[in-house]
Amino acid sequence: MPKKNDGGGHMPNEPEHPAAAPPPAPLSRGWCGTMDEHRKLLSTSEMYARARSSIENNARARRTARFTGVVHIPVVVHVVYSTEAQNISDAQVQSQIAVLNRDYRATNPDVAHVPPVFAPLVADSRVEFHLATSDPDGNPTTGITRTSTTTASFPQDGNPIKFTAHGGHDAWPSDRYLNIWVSTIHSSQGGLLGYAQFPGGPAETDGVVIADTAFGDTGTAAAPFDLGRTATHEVGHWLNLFHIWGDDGTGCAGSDEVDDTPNQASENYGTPAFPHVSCSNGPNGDLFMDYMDYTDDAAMFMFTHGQAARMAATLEGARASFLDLGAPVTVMPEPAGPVVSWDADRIDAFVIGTDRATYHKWWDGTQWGPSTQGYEYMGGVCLSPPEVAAWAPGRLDAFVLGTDRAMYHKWWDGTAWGPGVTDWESLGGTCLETPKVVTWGPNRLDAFVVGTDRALYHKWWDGTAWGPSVDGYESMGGTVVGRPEAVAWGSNRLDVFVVGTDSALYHKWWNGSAWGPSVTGYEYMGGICSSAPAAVAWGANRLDVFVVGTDSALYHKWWDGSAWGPGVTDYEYMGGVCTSPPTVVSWGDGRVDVFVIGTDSALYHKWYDRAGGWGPSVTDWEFMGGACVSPPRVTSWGPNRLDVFVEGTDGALYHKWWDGSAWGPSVDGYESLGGVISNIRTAQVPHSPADLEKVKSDAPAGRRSSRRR
Amino acid sequence: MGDDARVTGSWIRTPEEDHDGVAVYRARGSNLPPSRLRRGLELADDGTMTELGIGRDDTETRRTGRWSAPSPGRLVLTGEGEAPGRTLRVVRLEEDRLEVVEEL
Repeated sequence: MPKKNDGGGHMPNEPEHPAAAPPPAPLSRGWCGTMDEHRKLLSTSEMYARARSSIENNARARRTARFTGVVHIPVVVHVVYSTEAQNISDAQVQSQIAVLNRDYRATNPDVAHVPPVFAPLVADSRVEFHLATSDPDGNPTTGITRTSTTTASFPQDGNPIKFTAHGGHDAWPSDRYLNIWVSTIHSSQGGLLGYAQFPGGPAETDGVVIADTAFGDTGTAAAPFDLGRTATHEVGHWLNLFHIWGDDGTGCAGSDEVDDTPNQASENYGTPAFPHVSCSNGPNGDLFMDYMDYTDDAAMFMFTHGQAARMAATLEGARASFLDLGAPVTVMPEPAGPVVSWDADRIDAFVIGTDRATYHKWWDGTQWGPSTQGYEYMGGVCLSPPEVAAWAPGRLDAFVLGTDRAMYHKWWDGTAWGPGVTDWESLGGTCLETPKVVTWGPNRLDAFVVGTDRALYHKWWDGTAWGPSVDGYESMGGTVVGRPEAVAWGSNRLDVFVVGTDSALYHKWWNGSAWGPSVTGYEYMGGICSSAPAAVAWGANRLDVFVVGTDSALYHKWWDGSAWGPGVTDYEYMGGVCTSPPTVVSWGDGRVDVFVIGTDSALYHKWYDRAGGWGPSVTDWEFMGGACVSPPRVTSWGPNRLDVFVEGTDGALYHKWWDGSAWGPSVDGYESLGGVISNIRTAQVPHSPADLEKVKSDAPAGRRSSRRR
Repeated sequence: MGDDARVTGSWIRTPEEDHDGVAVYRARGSNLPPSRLRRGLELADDGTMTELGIGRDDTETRRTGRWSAPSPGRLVLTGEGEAPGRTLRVVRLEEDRLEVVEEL
């Protein structure tokens, strides 16, 4: 397991070597004319010059990131349009957020195209983005503003797009939001794709500007800039990255102030062939596949560790205000359910690879298959983690979302995978959240998804056919934020929990003959939830429901067969500072185990035992070590048995287990199970029409059984 | 080199058209495909010159100076102050197209 970063003790903005870097040079002699916005500010604003000096000192002093886990950036997208085409769709905006999340977590599938000599440089920047859920006044928002304007195209000069009074839209507070303006833009040379402002500049112009035709990967995005990389590049500037060629024209003296990027003469265009040598940087040449070069979208697919460290220094310095914001409900990582046990001493674990295909490994009672470090390739290009149910020994049903946001299904019948090892059955739908699947008995499956109208939808397998049809769904009403939770405490019984737009918990149930309180109605259960709910049933007519509150503590309520405790709309405080939703499991009557990730990215555990009550106490937690970048996944194949799986900062899967008397390999130790995993962490998935069948053969061949970088 | 073509005017870099070590410019106003940001060259009749460049933040920069043609097919660009000049050898000149090789 990667060690926790132990280089603490440095406050944000504390330069360790205040004199290490000179202030940014004023204009070099011979440079007359119009300066870029950055140099304009340097020469006209002493405050900016001093801020830049401090930021560069900080960047040089901090060569490794000190924050643990993932930084979450709330985004507001200001769509400014003079034609209907420019008034881009919500789906196009969401597709851009999804691209940013893949690119800044190195989970973009095309990272596989990095030449092997550069592969060790590829970094997970540990930054994630989500559309803001509350506006500057605290009101709910979609994170998208829409402004009709008479300006057909906005010039860079003067930044009119950033001011309501000039036909654009005023920035939201730049210490709490990344402002992204989207419209048609130009400079004197013609149309352009985007531009940025470095940290340290005026708040009213802070953010990035992107052309509507280069935003996201759907809608009006046009080739060859239709993969959303313009925003990846500009947000790199917003986090203080410089161009990889060093911004000195065609010379070799300029630097991007990053140690692990090769010296490079000037910008590259198009889709260069490897290697492209300049500035005596052979044999490997320019790192033209870096996001901070100028190539086409399809040709850029990585940041380096040095760039990630520079961005981390920014997030611990000039943009440290974002460190404190935490993860809101819509992007809290999902308690993926892809670890199941169909029988004693049997475990099946499913993960998404960096190529976004599904991979599988299993414990058969004596060893891991196909090997301890290896995985079985199961195809697909998945926008959600697999959701897996086992309704009988030797039976598995796996569900994912495809890139078209439809749900896809495959199954293990005890002897073979259907419809094929790497094939999937389409079950239709257009889903915004990872499906939740539950089974209440043999040959029975119930799947719950969230549609594009954010209502809950349901389909079921009754042993012979899908209801209401193979690609149809039953509408269950509501306006759902985040992933639904469902649990079955008995045959023909379902309880579904969702969070509404008011962040309260809502409940509905199937009693064997009808939905309560009605097909489309919900029982209000109060609370202000900042995570999706997690529910477990240790026996008939018993439910335990857990959510994370706005204070990041865990809260609990329960159904004891006759009433909700502590009350229908009340919750029991269980302490903790959670950065993941809870994952809960029950190995038997009167037993519950809860796992969360803490702010130090370590795993924490608490348990309920009917005889002993809550351990270590109602509000305390057992420290279980690790540096986890995914929510824990837990399964229990029998009484007194727990198996816990987490993803480490190196992207590998790690395992620990409770054997009834002790934790293996130790309380805070982990067994490495290999792989490089890409959990799809955002709750909202992008729209991009492609289907699993079409792309399943594109997975790199060398990554099918073992996917170690 | 076309007889009627004049090197003065506003030229926008089209690196997507570069070939064989030759840098291609198109006349401003040509219908150019979108680009992250293009470099450019403005050569005025009075001998003044502006180089359009790419700023650190993807905003445009303009560097002014002078240009001259000391010999046929050669352009010398000199920035104001002490910045070193650049020498460009013109290999093709048409009304809407300028192709040059930078001489080191």
